[in-house]
Amino acid sequence: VSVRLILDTTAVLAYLRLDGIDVGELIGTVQENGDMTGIPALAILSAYDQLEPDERTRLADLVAEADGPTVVIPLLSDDVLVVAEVAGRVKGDHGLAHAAVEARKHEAVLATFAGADARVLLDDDDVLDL
Amino acid sequence: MTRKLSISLPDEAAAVLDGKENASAYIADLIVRDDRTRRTREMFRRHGYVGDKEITDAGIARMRDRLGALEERRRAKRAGPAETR
Repeated sequence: VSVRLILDTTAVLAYLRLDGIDVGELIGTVQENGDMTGIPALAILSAYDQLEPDERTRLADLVAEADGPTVVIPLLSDDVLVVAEVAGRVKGDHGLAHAAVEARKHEAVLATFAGADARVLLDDDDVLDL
Repeated sequence: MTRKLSISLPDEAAAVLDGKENASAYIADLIVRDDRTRRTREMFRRHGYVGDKEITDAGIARMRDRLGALEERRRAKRAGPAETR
């Protein structure tokens, strides 16, 4: 099982707020192919303060799902300074920076509503605009 | 752990298995994947993706095409320089 898709903060927020169905359809697509959708830890942290209580409940369920379609990707010690440097190129957006670093590492596509910022960090074809 | 089962299949399905090196593994993978899909769809509904927000087969297929096209462009771009060497 490989991580084929990475969500950034904007994509995580959209899913948890039921803001459209594209993110859910993407998660479903990746799962049906036998792969996983990765949610970087910093994307979750960046989103968390912006969430209403019911959205936090949804988040807890999403990340707790045993053998589910998503996996939380931790920030490894080797990547801390890399993510910090990368975030400096996108106005300190740590959620996007961690997502971009993980997208590169896993050779996965990054799904985001912040396509312009994401393309500062990744190639055009590495980014799926939501 | 494994269990030995005896099952009956329509000819069409059995013909598919005839072409598989390991029919048991093939069937096991299909069953596990189908069960994960069912549980994922349940999760979507539990999260509120119901009614006009329901995640449907058609929506999944549409997104599969979109993601697949993007990945194909990436593959082609990355394979390009190597092929011209």
